[in-house]
Amino acid sequence: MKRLLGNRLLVALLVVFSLALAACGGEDPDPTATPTPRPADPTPTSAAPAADPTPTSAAPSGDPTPTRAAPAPADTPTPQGPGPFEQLVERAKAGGNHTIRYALEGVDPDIILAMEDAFRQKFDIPLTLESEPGHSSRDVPLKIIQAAASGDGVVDASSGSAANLFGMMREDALQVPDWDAVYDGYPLARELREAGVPNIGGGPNGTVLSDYCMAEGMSFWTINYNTIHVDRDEVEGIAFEEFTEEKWRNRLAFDARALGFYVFPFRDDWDDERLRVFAHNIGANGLKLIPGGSTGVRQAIIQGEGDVGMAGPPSQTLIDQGAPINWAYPEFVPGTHRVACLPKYTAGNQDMATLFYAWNNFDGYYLRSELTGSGFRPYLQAEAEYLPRVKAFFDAGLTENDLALPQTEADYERTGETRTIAIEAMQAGIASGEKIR
Amino acid sequence: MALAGTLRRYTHIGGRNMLLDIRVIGPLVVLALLAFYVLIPLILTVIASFRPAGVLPTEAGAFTVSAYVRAFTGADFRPIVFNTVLYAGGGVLLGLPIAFAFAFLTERTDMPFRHYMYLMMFVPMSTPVFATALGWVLLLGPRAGTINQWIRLVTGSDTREGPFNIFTLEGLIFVHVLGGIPTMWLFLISVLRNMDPAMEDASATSGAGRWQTLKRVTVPLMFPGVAAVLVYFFISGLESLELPLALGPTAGVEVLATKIFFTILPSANIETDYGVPAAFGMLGLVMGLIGISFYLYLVRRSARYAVVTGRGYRPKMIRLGKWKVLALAFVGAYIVIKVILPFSVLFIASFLQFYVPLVPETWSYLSWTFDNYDHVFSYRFFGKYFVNTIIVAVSSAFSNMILVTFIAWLIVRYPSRLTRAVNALAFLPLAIPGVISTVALFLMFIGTPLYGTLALMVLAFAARYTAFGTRLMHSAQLQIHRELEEASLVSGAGTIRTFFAINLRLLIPAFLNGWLWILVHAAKDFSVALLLASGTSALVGNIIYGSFTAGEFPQAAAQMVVLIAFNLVLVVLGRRWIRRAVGGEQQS
Repeated sequence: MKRLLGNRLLVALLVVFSLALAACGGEDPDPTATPTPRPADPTPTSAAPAADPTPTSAAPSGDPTPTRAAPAPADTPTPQGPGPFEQLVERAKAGGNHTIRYALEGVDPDIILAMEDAFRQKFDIPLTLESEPGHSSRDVPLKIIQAAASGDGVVDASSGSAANLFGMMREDALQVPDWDAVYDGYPLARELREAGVPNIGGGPNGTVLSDYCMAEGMSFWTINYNTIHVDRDEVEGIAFEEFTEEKWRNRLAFDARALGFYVFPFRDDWDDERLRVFAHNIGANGLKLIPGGSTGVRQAIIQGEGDVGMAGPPSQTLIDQGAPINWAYPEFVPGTHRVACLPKYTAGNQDMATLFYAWNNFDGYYLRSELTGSGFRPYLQAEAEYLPRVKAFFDAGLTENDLALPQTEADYERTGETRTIAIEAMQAGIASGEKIR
Repeated sequence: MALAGTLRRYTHIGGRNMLLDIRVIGPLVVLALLAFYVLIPLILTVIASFRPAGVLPTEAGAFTVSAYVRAFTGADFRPIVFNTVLYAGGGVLLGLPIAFAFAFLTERTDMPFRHYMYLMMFVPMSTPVFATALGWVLLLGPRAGTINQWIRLVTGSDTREGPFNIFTLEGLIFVHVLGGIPTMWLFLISVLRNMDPAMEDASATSGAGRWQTLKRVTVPLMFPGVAAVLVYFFISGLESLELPLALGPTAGVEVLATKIFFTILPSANIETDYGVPAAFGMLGLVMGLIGISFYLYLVRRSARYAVVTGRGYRPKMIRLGKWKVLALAFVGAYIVIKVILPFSVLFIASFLQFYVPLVPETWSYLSWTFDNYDHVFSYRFFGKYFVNTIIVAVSSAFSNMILVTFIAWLIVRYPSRLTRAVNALAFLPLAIPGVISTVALFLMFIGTPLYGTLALMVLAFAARYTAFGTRLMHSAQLQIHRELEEASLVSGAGTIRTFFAINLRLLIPAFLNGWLWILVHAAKDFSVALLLASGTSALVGNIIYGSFTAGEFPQAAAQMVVLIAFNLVLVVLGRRWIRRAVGGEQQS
C-alpha cells in the first residue's frame, strides 16, 4: 500500500509539475531583459498619417526611375549627430529588451546569427531574433489582427505580400512608423514608400497602405527547370502558352494554388478568359500540381518529378552546390508587391521594433541577398548591383513593363478571384485531359 | 440565511450533502471542464457557420445561411463527400483485418518476438504522418520515385512514369491504411486481452464446433470492441488532415479536412471566410454524430459482455509451429513497408545537401554532408523546442489519461443523467474536425494571457484526445467487474481511495497504452503547433514544417530523424519507468 501511495504521489507530482511548466509558456528568451511597459497609446511619435502628406504610392510601372540618386547600399549612412535616428538607437538601447519577434519560419539559423551579428556591430545592441511560427504572409497577419483586437502584439515587425497584408491596415492593426527617424537613418526608405507600395486604401481615417508601410521588395515567379532534362535555351524568355504544347506533356510541375498565374490578368494583353484557357490547357497537358508553393515546386524539379515549373528562383547556394536546378526569366515576370510594416501593438520594446524594422529593410535585406542571392526591388535601380536578381532582370533586357503585377486596389481585391479561376481551370484540365480552343 | 436554506434544500437529500457525493460533484466538475474546451469551441464553430464571409465568429454582425449554400452547392461538393467516405471507409475496412491479425498474433499465439510488438508498433506510431507521406512521395512518385525508377531500370522500360503512382486516391488510402494499423492494433489487443478464453473452451466442451464457437461466442464477445474500432477510425479518417494535405493536391483528391483547411487559409487576400469551412465542419460533425450514435447504441448493449472478474485467467495460447516464420514475415513486411522504407529515404536525405533519387542517373549529383545536423543539436535553434515538445506531450498524456480514466469510471460505475451527459460531451470532440476545434481555440484565446503558452496546446490536445482516451478507458472499465471495488468499499476504503487503489491499478495496462499513445501523437503532431504556437512556445513541429516550407528539405529530414528517434526513446523509457512504478506484473 505504501508503494502504491508513493507511486500515486509521484504521478500526481509529475502532473502538477508538468502543468506548472506548461503554464509558464516556455522559457524566457532573455531573462535579463527588462520588460518594456506597453505604451498606453500606440500612436506613433512621428507624424500621423493625416499630418504626413507624403504622396502615396505612385504605381510602380508609372515612373520606375527613382526621382533622386539613392545612396549606395554599402554606404548606408551611419547616423551623424543627434538626429532622430540616433535618438531612436539610443532609446532602443536603453529600452532593455533587445529581443525581436519576427516571422522567421524556416530561415537558416546561420542567417539569423549573421543578422544578429551585423545588427550588433552596427548599433552595439545585442539583438536576439525570436521566430514567430507561421507563414509571414498567410498566418502571421491573421495572428496580428486577432491579437490587435485584444490590444496585444505577437510580433515586432511584419512583412509579406501586399495582397495579404493590406487587411491589417483595414483592421486597424498597423501603426505609422516614426518615418522621420527611419528616413534619417535610411533615406531610401522614402523612395521605397513612394515607388514600391501599391495604392491600396481603406485604412482608418482614409489612410492608405503607404502611410504605414514601405516596400520590402517583390515576390516574383520564374521558370525553374531540371538541368538534367532541360536546356536553358528551351525556357529562357519562353511564352507561357508554349507550355500547352505536346513538347511539354507530362513534364510540368506547378504549384497547386496557381502561384504566379493568378496575376496574369493584370497585364494588358491578358484577361480572365485567357487565363482560364491557359490554365485548363496546361492541366490537360499532364500537369502535376504540387503543394507547398515555390519550395514544393523546386523540390519536385530537383528530384525529377517535373522538368519545369513556375516558382520563385532557387537560392544561389543550392545552384552552387550542384543541385540539378536552375532558373530563367520567361516572356514576362509575374509577381506581387511585398511590403514591410509595423504592427500597432509590438511584442516588446517599441523603439527596438522601429529600429529593427528600418535596419531589416536595408542592411538586413542586403545581407540576406548576399548570403542567399534573394532580394528583388526592380523599382530601385540604385540597388541593382547589390541585388543579383535585379541585375539579372535588367541584363535579360527586361524592364518594369515586363512585370505582371496587380497594381491598384481593385487589382489586389481581385487576386482571390483570379486565383480561383486558375485553380479550377487547371483541375478541370487535369480531370478532362482535353485541351480547349 | 434564506439563500443558505434554499441551497441546503437543493443540495441535501436525505440529510446527505450531495455536493460532497462523488456521483454528483464528479460529473459536475468534469462537465464544467468539458464545456470549457469542448462545448465552447463547438458553439464557436456553429456560430461561424452562420456568419457572412469575412466576419469572425466572435464579432458582432448578421447571421446568414449563405455559407451552407456556398458550401453545399459547389461543383466540388459531391466529389469531396465521395472521396472522404472512400478515404475514411477504405482506411478502416482495409486496415482492420491486418490490425486484427497482428493483435491476434500478439495476444493469442506464441509468435517469436511478440513481446517486442509494442516497440515495433510504436515505431510507426511515433513517425509523423508528414514524414511518412514525404517518404512515400520520394519512393513512389510516378516519375522520380526511387522504387519506380529502379523497377523501370530493371525491367528496361522506356517510359518515364510508373508503374506505381502515389498521387492517386488509392495511393492516399494505401498510406492511410499503413498509418492506422498500429492504433487499431492497440485497441484490438485490449479487446482480445480482456476476453476470457474459458468461454470459448466451455463452448467447445459443450460440443460446439470451431465455426459455431466463433459464431456464437467469439464474435459476439468481440463485436462491441471491434465495432468501436470501426466507428472510431472512420471518424478519425474524416478529420485526417496531414496526409491528404501532403498527397491530395497532386492526386487531385480533395477531402473534407483539406477543404476546410484550404478555405480557412486566406488565399490571396487577408479576408478569411470562416463560414464555408465551418459549414463543412458541420457536415463532418453530422457524420461524426451518426457514428457516435451507432457506437453508443453498441455500448448500451455491451453490459452483457463484461467478462473480466476478480478471478484471474491466462489466455490460451495457440502454438504456431511451422507457421511462425510466415507470421513473422507478415509482421516484418509491414514494418519494412511502413517504417524502414520511408524512414530510410528520410535518413539518407538528412545527409544530403539536396535530395535527388538514388538511381544511376543522378548518382553524380549526390552530395553528402553532416551540415543538416549542425543546428539540430543546438539548444537555441532546436533544443528548446524539444523541451517544449516534451513538456506538452508529457503534460497532455498525463492530464488526459487521468481525466479520461476518471470519466470512464464515473460513466460505468455511476450511470445517471449527469454521467450520460459527460459521456456524450466527452465523445463530441471526435465529431469536431481537429482543424476547426484548434482554430476555435485560437479564436477564443488570442489576446488572452493563455495565448502563446504551452498550456493552451495541452488544452488543444485535451480537446483532441479526450474522445480517444474515454473510449479506450471506457472499454477497459466495462470489462472490470465491480466486485473488487465492492470488496474494497466493504473493507472500509473510501470511494476515491478505491478508485486509485483498485480501479486505476486494474486499468494500468489500458492506462499505459493510452498514455503512450497520446504522448507520441502529441509529440509528432504538427497541426496544433502550427495554429497555436507563438514565440517561445513553438514546438518541434513548427521548426520542421518551417524548414520544409523554406525548401530546406534535407534539414527537415534531419529534424524528422531526430524527432522519430526522440519519440522512440521516449516510448522505451516511458514504458520502463511506468512498469517499474506500477509493478512489472501488470505488463506483458
